[in-house]
Amino acid sequence: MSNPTLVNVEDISVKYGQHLALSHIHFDINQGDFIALIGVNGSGKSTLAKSLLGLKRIASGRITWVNGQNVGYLPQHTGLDNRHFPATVFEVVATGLLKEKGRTPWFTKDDRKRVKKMLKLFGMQDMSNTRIGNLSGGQQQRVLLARSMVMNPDLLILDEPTSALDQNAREKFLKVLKKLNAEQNLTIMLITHDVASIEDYANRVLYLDKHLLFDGSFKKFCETQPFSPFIHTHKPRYVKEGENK
Amino acid sequence: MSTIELLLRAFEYGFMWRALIVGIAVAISSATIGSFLVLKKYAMIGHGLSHVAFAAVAIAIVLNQAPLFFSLPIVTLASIVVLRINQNARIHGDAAIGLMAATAMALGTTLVSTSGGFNIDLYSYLFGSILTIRSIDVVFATVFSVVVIGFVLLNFNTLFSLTFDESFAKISGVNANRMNTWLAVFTGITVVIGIRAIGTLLISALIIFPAIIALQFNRGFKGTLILAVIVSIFTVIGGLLLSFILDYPSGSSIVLLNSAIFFIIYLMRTALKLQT
Repeated sequence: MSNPTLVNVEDISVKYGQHLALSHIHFDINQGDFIALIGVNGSGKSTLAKSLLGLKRIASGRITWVNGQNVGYLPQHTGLDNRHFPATVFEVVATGLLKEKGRTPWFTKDDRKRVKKMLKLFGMQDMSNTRIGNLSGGQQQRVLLARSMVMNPDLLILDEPTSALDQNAREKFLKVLKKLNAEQNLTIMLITHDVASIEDYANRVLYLDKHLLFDGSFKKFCETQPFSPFIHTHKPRYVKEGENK
Repeated sequence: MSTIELLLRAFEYGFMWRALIVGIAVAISSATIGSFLVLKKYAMIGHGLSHVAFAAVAIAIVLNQAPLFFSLPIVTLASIVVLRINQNARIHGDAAIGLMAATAMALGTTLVSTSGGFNIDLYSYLFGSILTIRSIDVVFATVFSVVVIGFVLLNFNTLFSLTFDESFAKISGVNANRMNTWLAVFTGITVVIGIRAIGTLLISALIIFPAIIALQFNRGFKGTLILAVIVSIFTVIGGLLLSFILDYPSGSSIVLLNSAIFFIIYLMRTALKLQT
């Protein structure tokens, strides 16, 4: 039996002024999917994510959340773009409670406990009062992940979360995601440039270039899209030498 | 008369008490609103608004209206317009603020020159004067600063989320447009209540300096905000007393005290960094 559907994306198009950013996109997201959303710069990856999140209005088509929209999000740009932003790890993770709490002026004891529990889960309990700008890139991404996880999301969308990380931190971060996907059945949509790095993690690839060019498994993607600019420039391990010529 | 005697004498005057109450009210509002503006990279909005406030005060004097009440809707409206311009990617926000500041300044000076030039009254609005603060100004500043502080306290978590990561705040259900508009409204109000004690041209410094000074201390958001308020109150009280002793304009004394504190802390931090 297939996993239940979280969201139906039906024939959506998105425009920036007169410029068409996405054209007639159609797919479903099922619970437990680990989707790699790939495409070259300007192919509409972030726009699709923003449309799913309700941050960008769609020009036509329909997005239907089967059990209501409950999405966590790691955006490409945050206050962390300013290294001196004065926020502690605790303060950042606690903002994940806002959706549930509404316009609350302060958090209760139970809320604080929840945040601390989440920090413990990510091995960051000792960093609660540390300023987020003083952490490494990998640790910062884990804090942002904890912020989303405290919401108990059905779907987690991550916009190029590993682009600024070194190889070691990138692998560590992806392993944390894989663990959440496998153990908590968390549905993940990961926007990335780096196809090779998600080969071992994602079970589904959405390949975008304004249109949805491919939707299927990683293996099938490599077989059916050998001449895409993606495979050519990012050559994953799966594509054997000589096969892509 | 020694400096201490002079300082003690300051508190014997009613105008000094009025200045202190207005000063503290402005200090708290400007430091809290300023912290959000600086971190959202909207600090120049305060600068642009201070010039609009000058034009508004000039128009009020020419029309024989009460300057503060006349300025309030104009500055608040300008604040909302500037915020919208700043958010519009097609126009460079800083350039738009520069244009607005220059136009408002030109309008103000033209009006002033046609009505007999700068007089003492207008000069006191430009750079602040503790002697001109009336009881109605005290009520006005206190009420509005309570409203500003109430707004920040009630929406603290929302404002923090919005400042740190607007996209995430939006998906958490925060109406970013509405909150940003409120922030613009309270920035306008803060600029207007600061006119008497600090002056139209220098109020933007009180929006920026306390936040920048507090940011030097590696604290979290709440800690930084509290520190900015403390710095702001300290420099306003210190500046007002200096103004009384040395007979300088109050706004200039407050801003120079802020500048001195900032440079001392900045130099100390740099020296500490070089040592390690």
